Parts: sequence; C-alpha cells; structure tokens
Amino acid sequence: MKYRLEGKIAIVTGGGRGIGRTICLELAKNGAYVVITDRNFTNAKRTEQLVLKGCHKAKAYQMDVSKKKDVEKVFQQVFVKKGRLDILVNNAGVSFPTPFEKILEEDWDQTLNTNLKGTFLCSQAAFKMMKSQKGGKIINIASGASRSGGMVSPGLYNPYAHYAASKAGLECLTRSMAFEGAPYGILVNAISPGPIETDLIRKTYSSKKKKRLISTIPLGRLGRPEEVASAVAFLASDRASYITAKVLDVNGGVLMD
Amino acid sequence: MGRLKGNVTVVTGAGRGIGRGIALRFGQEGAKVAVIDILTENSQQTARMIREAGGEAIALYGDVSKSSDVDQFIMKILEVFGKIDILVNNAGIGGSKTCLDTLEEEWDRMVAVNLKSVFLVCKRVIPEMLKIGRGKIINIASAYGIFGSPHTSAYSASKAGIINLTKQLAVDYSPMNIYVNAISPGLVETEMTQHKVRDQQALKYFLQFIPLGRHGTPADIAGAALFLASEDSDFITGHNLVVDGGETIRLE
Repeated sequence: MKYRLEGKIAIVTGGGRGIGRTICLELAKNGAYVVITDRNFTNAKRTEQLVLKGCHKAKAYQMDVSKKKDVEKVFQQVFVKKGRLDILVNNAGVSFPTPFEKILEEDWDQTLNTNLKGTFLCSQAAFKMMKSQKGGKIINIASGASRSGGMVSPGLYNPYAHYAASKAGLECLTRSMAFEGAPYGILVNAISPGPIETDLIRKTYSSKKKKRLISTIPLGRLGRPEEVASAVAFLASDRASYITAKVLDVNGGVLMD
Repeated sequence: MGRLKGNVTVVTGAGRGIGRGIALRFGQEGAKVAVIDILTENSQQTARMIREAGGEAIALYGDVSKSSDVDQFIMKILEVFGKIDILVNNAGIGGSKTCLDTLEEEWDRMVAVNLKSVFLVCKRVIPEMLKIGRGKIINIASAYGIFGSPHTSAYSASKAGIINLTKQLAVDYSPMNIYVNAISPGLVETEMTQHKVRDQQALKYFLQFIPLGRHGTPADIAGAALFLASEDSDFITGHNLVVDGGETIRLE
C-alpha cells in the first residue's frame, strides 16, 4: 500500500471502464473503499467484481453525472452508509469527434453536461460532506485538449471543439473550487492526461496515425491507464497535502505548459 | 517502505531546508543518498540522520556553481556507489532586491548558484544516466519563477530559468528514458525564509496570498519529490509541479 488510503471513502465517476476503472482498482489497492459509479451499471458492476477479486473494498452504483437526481441519490446513500467522503474523482467524460461546423447541438450539450456540469454537480454534493468533516480531496480528470484545442502536432488534429472546451472549463472550475474549498481543507486538483493507450485509441487510430502520434511524444510511447491512476493516488494521499488548484500533466512530455 | 531501494540519489544543497527534507525522505525509502553542500557540518549531519534511521548516505563538499567541484563530487559518488539513478538539483540561494539595487556581482552569483549549477550538474550526471539507460532528474524551482513579485528580480529570473531548462532537458533526453521535471515550492519554512515565517506580522502578510492558510514544510516538498522520483510518475516529464497551497492561483 504505497499511498496509505486505509479507511478513506472514495467516489469515482465513470468507473465502469477505461481510465476510470483503473483508478478504482488503484485507490482500492491502496486501501480506500471505492464507490464505483457509471451510467452503465453492468460496467460498474464488472469493475466492482475486479476490485473484490483483489480482496479490496468497493460498491457499484448506477449514476449519470449529468442528472442531479442520480447524483443526489448516490451521494446521499454514501453519506448514510459511510458517514463521510474523503476523495472524489471526477472522471466521467464523453467525446464525439466531429469537425466544428458539423457539431450537433445535442452533442455539444451532452459533452458539456457530462464533462463539466457533471463535475459541478458531483463536487457540489461532495463539498457538503467534506466541509462538515473539515477536509477532502477532489481530483478532476481533464485533458491536454484544454490547452491544445485538439491539435497534437502538424498533421495530427483531433476535431472535438466541444470536448476541448469542456475540459478547459473543467480546469478553470478546478481553480475556483480550490479557492473556495481551501478554508475547509478541501484540496482540488486536476490531472491532464496526454495520449493514453485506451480502447478509444486502440479502436479508432490506424497504425499509421498511432505511429505518428507516438513520434510526437518525447517519451516515445503512449501512456498507460495505470500511470494516470498512480497520479490520482498521489494527489489523494497525504503526500500531496500542500498541493491545490493545480493541473498535473501526465502526458509523456507531449505538452509542456 | 523501500520505494527507492538501491537507487543512488544525489541531492544538492541537502545540508538543510528542503534539500535535507528530500534527502531524509529518500533515505527512508531505501535510496543511497549523496548529500552535497558547501556547509560541511550541515551535510554531515544530514547524512548522519539518514544513517541513524537505518539508511545509507555519504556527505560531500561541493560548490555547485563550480565545474571543478561538480567533477570532484560526482567522481567520488561513482567511486562509492557506482552509478547515479536520481538527481535532485536543489541547491540555491535567496535574495530580495529590486533590479536597481542589485549589484552586478550579486546578479552573477544568483544566476550561477541557482541556474548554472543545474546545467553543470546535469552535464556531468546525464552521461551516467545514459549509461544505465534511465534516470530521474528533479529541479527545485520556485513559485517566484512563475509570477511577478516585488523585489526579487534576480532570484525570480534564475528560478524561471530552471523551469524552462527543465523543459529543454526533457525534450532532449526523455527519448532516452531520462525524466526531467521541476517542483516549484511556494512559501516553505527553511533557513532561507525565516524572515518571512518567524516574524508574525510578516507571516500574516504572506499567508493572505495562500488559500490553504499555512506555509509549507520541507516534508510537503519531499512528498512531491518522492512521487517524481518513483516509477509512479513514469509518464510525466517536462512538468513543473507547483506545491504552494494554491498561492499561484491568481496568476494562472
């Protein structure tokens, strides 16, 4: 248990797959009780099984972060059952790669509602609990796209203006929440992952495009979900107790500020 | 714990303050620590503290702004430990003066000790890391290297230089698995900041800029350094990790 999270209660949104699932496993491995939420309950349940298989503690819930009712219900249940919340990881996110002029209003709304409003709703619910217990950690999963706008290198552009804008909003929200949370010991930070080897890249990138992408990364490889998860565990731990309002880049050097 | 077991670590300016905090923490985690300082008694004390806690350490004299000194202590480290896995460029001096009040010699010394030293030590250590195919370099910059603040032109400029040098080194050497990152501490209680931290009135003034409402400790910086030195940060390079209780929030 590298990061000593024994006795801590954590909620991870979008924990049903990908980076979110890996974050759940990592926090549980370090001793935390992990509330796995996902709008797809089957996926959340699958993550729960994986955590329990490793003899760690977790429970899956169905929750759509963009729906206030869903969020209130789950946070209320956690409060009733556990009486506290130490860590919130706002990881749930969607992206619909589309050239700007072709972005549908519904896709814009869903992207902003999930990526940005979802974080607002969950964090507001978390603030209530964390304020009364005088402390807590909120970690938002942002993206390098918030600064690059989707442009990775010449000839390599991901057209998702709505996704990039939502993540930029998320970074700003991180700072506002950090400022307001500081007097109560609530520390709020973001992690900005670069290109991570997830299903998305595996399925949607041709080997030529993947090669091109890798050639732009100083470390010469894609990141692993575990490398985002270990950064989350670090920020959630006591080792990061003087870090707040920050964006931690986990991107192999592809973007330096 | 042993998260850095067997890793040979060089910490410059480790006789006191943040450098000592990092050296002690790394020693606890099983690193073999070379404690470098011009303050011989202090560096010996740090090394003794590491050994008394069951760790391994040597203390060596070295002025990091002098290439001959750097050559000498690096050679000695290689003789004793055989390799270098981790380098923490922490040595530095402070100073609080406006541009007009700063003497040319003061400017030169500030830039030599704080910035040129990173260049000199890296120049000597990176080839050793290339030999073993891996390395972690952590440069201690400062929140002052990010924002503009009264009366610190030479200090702030030297620290801003460290932040950019970190990125340049990361671009050039990350492909060879040498990870280069910076840590920018905010207000941390050390010998360098006594005039700010010990004086209640001054402390009150500085704390109003820090959302967390407290100053940091060397242990706060050591926790971040441990993360950047461990394999947990293996996809992080060229980053400046700011550990400041939120102080830079208003300028980002």
